[in-house]
Amino acid sequence: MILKDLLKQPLVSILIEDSYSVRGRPLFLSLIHNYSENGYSVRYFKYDSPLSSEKCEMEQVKFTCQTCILKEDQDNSRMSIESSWCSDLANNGDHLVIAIDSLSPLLMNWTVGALASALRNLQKRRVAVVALVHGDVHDKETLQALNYVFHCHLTVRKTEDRNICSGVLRKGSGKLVDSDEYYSITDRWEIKDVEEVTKPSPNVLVESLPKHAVPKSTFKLDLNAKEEEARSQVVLPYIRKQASSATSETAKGQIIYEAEAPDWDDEDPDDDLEI
Amino acid sequence: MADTVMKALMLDKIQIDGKSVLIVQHSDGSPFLHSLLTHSARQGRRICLVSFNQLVGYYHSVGTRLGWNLNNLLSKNQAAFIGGLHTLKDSFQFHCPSNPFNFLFNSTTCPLQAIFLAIESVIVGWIGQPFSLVIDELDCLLNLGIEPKAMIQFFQKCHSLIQTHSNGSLIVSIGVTPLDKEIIQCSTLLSHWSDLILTERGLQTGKSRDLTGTLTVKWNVSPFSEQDFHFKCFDRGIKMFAPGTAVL
Repeated sequence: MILKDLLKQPLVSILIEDSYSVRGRPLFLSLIHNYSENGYSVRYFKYDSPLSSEKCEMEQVKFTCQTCILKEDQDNSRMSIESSWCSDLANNGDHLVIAIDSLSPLLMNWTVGALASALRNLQKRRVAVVALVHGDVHDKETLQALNYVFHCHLTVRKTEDRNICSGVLRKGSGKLVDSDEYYSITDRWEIKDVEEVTKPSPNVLVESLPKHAVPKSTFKLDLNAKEEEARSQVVLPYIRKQASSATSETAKGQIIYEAEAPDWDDEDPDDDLEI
Repeated sequence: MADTVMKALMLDKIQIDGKSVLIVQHSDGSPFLHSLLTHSARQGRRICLVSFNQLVGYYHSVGTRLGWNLNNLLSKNQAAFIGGLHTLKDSFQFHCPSNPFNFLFNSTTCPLQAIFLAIESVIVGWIGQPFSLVIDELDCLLNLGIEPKAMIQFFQKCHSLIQTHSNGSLIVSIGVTPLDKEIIQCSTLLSHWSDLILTERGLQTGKSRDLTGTLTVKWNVSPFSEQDFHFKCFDRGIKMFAPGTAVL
């Protein structure tokens, strides 16, 4: 279960994809709050315009952040953002998580390749990155390109008023693991009730299944008990032969080939041609 | 009629201060923008109206039918109008550096910076008083050659201006056409950043005598609700109905 494992330790990179109808920000905040409670140092970068309620939310999770509006000059903006991500990394050791909320404004200003390059530079320094992206804003190609950068991709959705997190994890060996998990978030930004989504078994009653495949007919097509017993005692001829050959040597498959006598024709096949 | 609209949007119980409202218009016209303008005027809020498509006379004319006088508010400095059409005409003639549309002739300067500065200079004069910054048809900027990233940045700057002054509200309307990918991308991104999203659509089956269209009201903050309504536009307001109750 991917989400359950993520709660214990952050992976190198986690991408949370949400949409306008199902917001992923609560899961994003809860994850980084969890890491913060477990001793990780969290650096939070906010590029989205905050909603009016987010000020109170940030006070609850005890993070400080400042909304960053990307500057007009693209090169300067990218350099300054990359340097802000990488600043003072040496002092924080291995327990550092960089949270990016969200990648969507960056993707409006940069190409996917430029963003991927910046994120890879960050990952090379062994820093865990947790990022949010609004999946309904960007096209499929852009989102697929991000999958190559992030090791873990979580998609949030809702069904029957329950939150579901669909996770895909790319392990170091290249193996892909996926899971669907229910989850809930408390008022204290804790993720609880994480359980795997199990597909319901089909509601088929065994008693309703027919006992015989013989169709109903006015003719007598089935067998009575005596005839069933006699049929069960019949030994099929190929089984008898297999049983007898099995006693002499170990039963194993073999191909018996008898070469036929060559059918040479003394006549010249081109004899009838008038060349 | 304005009261029923505000009740449907829950703005009779929820304060609009510090909040952003996005009106996504899939059909022509902006009846709900005028309703929110009327609501702001009746509450005594200062109004900074930015329009790229209409003259001040249009808003005055509609406002008069809805019960408020824009020209009166403009004369008392309780409202300000930043009109795109006149300033655009002047920018063609005079090439003034401080003209908000100077960016059309000078690609090296930051587009929309001058418009934002014009808005900021109006808002700064109203510090401490409740105000509404209303931007009509933001999608017109794309038609003027502005890139989507610049338009998004302009929205973020206006949004941060509102949040700096906690008694301000931001009301933005944006027209959407299904085939325009850029505007759909921008409107979807702005929907993630707005507290209240009103999505106006025409009827799927065509025109109707009883209804003008459908409205989806979604709150991204408390009460976190999403509701669908039908509405009918009249000369002096809008009537709102629960789906299926228009002819009752």
